[in-house]
Amino acid sequence: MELEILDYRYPGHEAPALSGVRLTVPPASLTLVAGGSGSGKSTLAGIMAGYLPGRTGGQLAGSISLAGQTLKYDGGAQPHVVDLRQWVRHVAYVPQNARSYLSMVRSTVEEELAFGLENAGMPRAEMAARIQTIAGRFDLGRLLQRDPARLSGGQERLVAIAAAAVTDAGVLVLDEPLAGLDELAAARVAATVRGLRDTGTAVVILTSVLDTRFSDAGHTLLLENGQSAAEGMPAVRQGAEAAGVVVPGGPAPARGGTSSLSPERAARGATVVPAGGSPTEPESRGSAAVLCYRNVGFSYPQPERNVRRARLARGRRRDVSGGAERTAIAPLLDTINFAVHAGECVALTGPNGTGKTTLLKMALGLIAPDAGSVAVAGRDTAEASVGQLAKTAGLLFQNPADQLFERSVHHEVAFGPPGSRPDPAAVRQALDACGLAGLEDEHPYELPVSRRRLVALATVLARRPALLVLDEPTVSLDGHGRKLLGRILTAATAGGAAVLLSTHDKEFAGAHCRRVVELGRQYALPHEAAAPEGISAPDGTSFR
Amino acid sequence: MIRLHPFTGLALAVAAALLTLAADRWWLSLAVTTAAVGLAVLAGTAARLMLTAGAVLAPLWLSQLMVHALFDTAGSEVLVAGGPVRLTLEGLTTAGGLGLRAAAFVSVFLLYSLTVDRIELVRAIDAARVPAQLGYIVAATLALVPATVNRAKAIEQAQAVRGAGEGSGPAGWLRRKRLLAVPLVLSSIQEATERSVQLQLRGFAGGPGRTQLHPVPARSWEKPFGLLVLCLAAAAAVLLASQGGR
Repeated sequence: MELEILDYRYPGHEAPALSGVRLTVPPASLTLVAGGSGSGKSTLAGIMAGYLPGRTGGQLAGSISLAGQTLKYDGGAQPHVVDLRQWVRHVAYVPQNARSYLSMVRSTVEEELAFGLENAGMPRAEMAARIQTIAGRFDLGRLLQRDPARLSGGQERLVAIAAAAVTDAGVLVLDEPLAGLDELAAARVAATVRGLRDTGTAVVILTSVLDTRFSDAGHTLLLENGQSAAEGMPAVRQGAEAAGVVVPGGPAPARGGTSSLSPERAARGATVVPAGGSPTEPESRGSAAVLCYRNVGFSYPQPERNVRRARLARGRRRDVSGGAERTAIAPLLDTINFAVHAGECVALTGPNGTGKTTLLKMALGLIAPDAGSVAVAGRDTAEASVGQLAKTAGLLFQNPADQLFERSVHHEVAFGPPGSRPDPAAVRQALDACGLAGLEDEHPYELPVSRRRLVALATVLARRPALLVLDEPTVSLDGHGRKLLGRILTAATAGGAAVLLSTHDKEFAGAHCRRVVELGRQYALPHEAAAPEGISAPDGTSFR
Repeated sequence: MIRLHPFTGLALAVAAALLTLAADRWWLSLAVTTAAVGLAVLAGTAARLMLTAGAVLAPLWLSQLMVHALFDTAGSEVLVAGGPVRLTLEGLTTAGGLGLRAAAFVSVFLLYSLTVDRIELVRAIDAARVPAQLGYIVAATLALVPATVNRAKAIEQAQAVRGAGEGSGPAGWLRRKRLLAVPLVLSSIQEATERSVQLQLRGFAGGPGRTQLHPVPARSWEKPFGLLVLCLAAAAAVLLASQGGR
């Protein structure tokens, strides 16, 4: 595939989203396109995937060559519309929002993997063989008979990438393929990507993180403001930070350091977050626990329907192995004990699907534990309504699609029923802290994903929570966004708020969190004795 | 209970509904309704069938009672009269007949929708060489209720953690639903738009040569049996209708 994008404009926009970008993607190659939020990565991906400009009204000047054919675009309002049925045989594309890649009309992961192959009319035996191979490569055996609608965020991404890779398209375009994946899954995806490259696939990775796992990319391009800012790994690495790209292993972000997102705030030099309200219970003041998990256990009920399907599958499917043994499931969470205190930031880590989101949602009473108890500011969550808990705790959901529902950024951040609306001054502070000044009238869904995530964070901050519960806050954030997040965490904990966040980014956790609680490794780490207040930590709470 | 191919079940439901509607015999409507409820008991979905059917039929029956019976001007055998109200035996018979037919129709299709495996139905439609889009529309429509429930739950949670989950009783419930309505519609449209692009990018609009990893198994007798039932129902309906009367 060869692209020469002289200029691409979205309908109604004067400024080009992309200009002067040339990219050659030969077979058996790995290309890394790095860029911060709004740099034009997703637009480039859309053009490569064939749906831009299409019938969206976008205007493209340039040319695209694929599989021996060249399409020339004159920048007019009537561009070529590619035949996607043919295009997708050559190019497979997994978007940043992996959930939207899944068809959601298939009942199992196995059938979801088969979806693209069925549409291409592949014979059954070949389909089954390919699915078996790809499931082995991505270690999806345990997930094959699971309902795609009930996967964790990381599992969704893994399945989506596998569903794209199984099509055997010559060009594989992956937008942020490692976002939200645990270390093992990320290593597996990286290894599979290299394996696909070695067998002839041209892989293009669009990312806001210069992950060392892809340091052997044959070609690297840095996008900034829709233009090619640098080419080749050394030059890209050099310009990455200024362009909002995260460089792991680079200099540790200084706590309270300045951000290049908003010059005004940079001049002021300090982030102000709405001051957290004090926990109301006397016992929770000072160094006492704001959030406390005691002997928490939880299992998801096994839907009767899936049990029946798994049984049916066992009975009649012999072509794909390893999927149908999930009728008796182990508990998701077992005897979890730890606490988060005022003024500290604690990171929750662990492989995908080990119950991090479940544990975080328990802090707001959205999920009740099967065993044990969860207390917020000394109050058992079982005895309080979500609304009452929300006066103390704020939750950032893993997927902004689950959090944003208003028509503008300002409406979103200022949302609240009468009597529970955030204070206008706090709304202003939250918007400024998240670098959203000037974007108040934008529709949240029209913002780049990184900004969308910051809008969701602002909705949490505006309510002045004494406890911040953040589910994978670094996912989708570019370098600028991460700096803002780091500063917000510093300011919030300095103001006495307690923070519990889940993350796979150990570097970020190391730089911003006082402690790490690791799920999925019960009894693995010998740090129980160090647990405060005599709380045992069989899940392996460690202290830095 | 024997597990039928989704199309065999559909043929039986259509045949029963066709026969009842065309024949217009109160005893037949009653028999079909009773049979549907009896099968629902065997399938373990009787409570859901009765509740849903009740919710659908109650306003229908009320409107038929008002249109045909309560203010009947033509009937000769007046049962109750006073002011504008004139309840006649003929009007009551008409409303009852229509009500029974509606009950048979609703209970038969509800029984089918409550017992059919949605995913198998979609697979069966896919395999029937109809356009892929039709299969998807059916699948998406069948998935609409659970998908909307999940979506509504997510938005309710997002609103609840921002203090909107408070208030008990009908007023609190109404306030929460009012807050939910617009975001629910907007986010559903947003999601559908995003997913439709991705479906195209997965070759969903592909031609007629689609295949299936797990085709729905059908016994050899099911197809001829389904066709025979439909033909017999059609013939019986024509015969009964031509005889007229009730």
